[in-house]
Amino acid sequence: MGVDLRDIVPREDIEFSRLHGKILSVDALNALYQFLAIIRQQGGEVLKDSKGRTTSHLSGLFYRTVNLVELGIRPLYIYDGRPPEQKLATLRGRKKHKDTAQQRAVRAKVEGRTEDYAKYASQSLTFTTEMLAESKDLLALMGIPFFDAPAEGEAQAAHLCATDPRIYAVASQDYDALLFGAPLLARNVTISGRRKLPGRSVYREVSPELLDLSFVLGELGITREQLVEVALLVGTDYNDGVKGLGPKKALEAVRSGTFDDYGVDPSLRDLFLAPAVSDSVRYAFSLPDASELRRFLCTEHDFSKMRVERAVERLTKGMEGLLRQETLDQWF
Amino acid sequence: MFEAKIEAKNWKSIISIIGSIIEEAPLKLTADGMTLRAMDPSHISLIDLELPKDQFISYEVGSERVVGIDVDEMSRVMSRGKPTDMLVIKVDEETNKLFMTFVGESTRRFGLPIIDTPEQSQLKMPNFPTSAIIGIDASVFKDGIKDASIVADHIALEATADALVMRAEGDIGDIETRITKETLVEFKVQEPCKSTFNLSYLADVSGSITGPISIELGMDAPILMNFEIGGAIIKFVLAPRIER
Repeated sequence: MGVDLRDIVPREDIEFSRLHGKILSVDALNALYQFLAIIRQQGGEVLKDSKGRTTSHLSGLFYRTVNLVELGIRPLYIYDGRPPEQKLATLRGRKKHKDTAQQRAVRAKVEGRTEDYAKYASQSLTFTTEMLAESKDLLALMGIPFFDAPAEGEAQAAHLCATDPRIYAVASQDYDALLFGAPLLARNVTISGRRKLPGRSVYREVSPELLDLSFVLGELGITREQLVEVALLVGTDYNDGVKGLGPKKALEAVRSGTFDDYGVDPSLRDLFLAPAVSDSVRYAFSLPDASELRRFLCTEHDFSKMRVERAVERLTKGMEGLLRQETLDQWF
Repeated sequence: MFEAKIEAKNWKSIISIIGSIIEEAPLKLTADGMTLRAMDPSHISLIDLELPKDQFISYEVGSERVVGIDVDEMSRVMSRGKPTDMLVIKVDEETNKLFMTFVGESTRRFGLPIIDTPEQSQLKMPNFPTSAIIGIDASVFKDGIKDASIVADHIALEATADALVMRAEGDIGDIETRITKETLVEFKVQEPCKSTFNLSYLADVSGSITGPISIELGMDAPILMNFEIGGAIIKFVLAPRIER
């Protein structure tokens, strides 16, 4: 979800080669939701193994991560912890929306309306504790690190990017990372080269884009605090925003200093400016456990043996290359 | 204040070589000329650049200062220069801009913002043991790099008793280039040694070199390449890959 600032923030289209050799802190749930939404069988059903367990998120996480490593990009996945109190209302609202969508999906399926089914089914996505645990098991076998944030994963990812010189950018589709202070945000990194437009059977090519916080602020002529205010006026995960106020009008309002006139609780600012984050994040990349990966994906979750085999090879090769490259640090 | 005049084509090749390593460059303007020392964000390579005052047609500097430049943007500006253009580089303190003026058939002035770059002034040169110094013509070296790129993404550089051997091995095959000491510009090998490097870094950097390159090699150590581009004296250091 997150705040919609698309219309006002400048970005730069980049090639994946720009991210070569870089470590990205990835908002794990943001990526997993996309996988669950996009990776579907014909007819709109999620992928399932023979025991009936959903595997769309595992498929996306596995193949996408392999592609990234092959491109010389190392993802560090950051999972959500306990959401802040203010988000609970939003989450309850989403739950209700998902329940409704679920009912509509069932009806559409019974009545044979395939397109409606796909639409409602993708709106009714939820993650179970088990699905999340499986995704972490998969990462561990792949040699890819992950971290459980104390609260918002996106806030933790942004904090790491700002404080750990090894981390180049946050990868997420949401603009919230900028509000949380990520110096660089990379979008369209965890999704593949084409993406389905919402509600339509149309695909468009997507290439990664980079958003530089200080450039964004400079172009808009505002501070990060003010960007947070713009977001609060538009509506965030923590509040509904002001009715009828889009990003452009909200920007005007903040620039003219009338934020306080809209009755938005100013204490919400701190949720973005001083979120709960951890300073003791340790992470390391390692070679994948090839035989366990094969067992987990093929034996346990019925993935195609041939495809997994090739991907494991690519992952091992890519990671070897990344791990074997020394830095100059030891020669000073 | 700072104002200097240089042949545009020289500045273009200098910016191009900097751009193959870093996106933002802290250029130091001193009484003796321009200097730059920076590592890429992954700390895999380092560039040390010295463009002495006498390489400029005119050179005036006030107090020493660092100007941060966006290398991509500046390359884009430089691509607009004509081969015979002169370039006047001027720091405008008031607007915090770098004015780049092409002087040719007309006078074209580009203004580029001076950006904040990470403080790298404390950065020393890395220190590592080398056992071979080899002088090689850029075109010969580049051929070896290009050949290797066909089969692999890394290359082993080996100094033997009488030759420099460039070797690459990949899934589809292997390639070996042997350059004997008679055909090399310089050849001093105290001890045979070998290190392996990422090809894309070497390809990017060597791409625009035309003159001789002096290469210092060690055993599983970084490579140091000394060369000149556009009047600038450049040292390029690349960390090795670990071979097991």
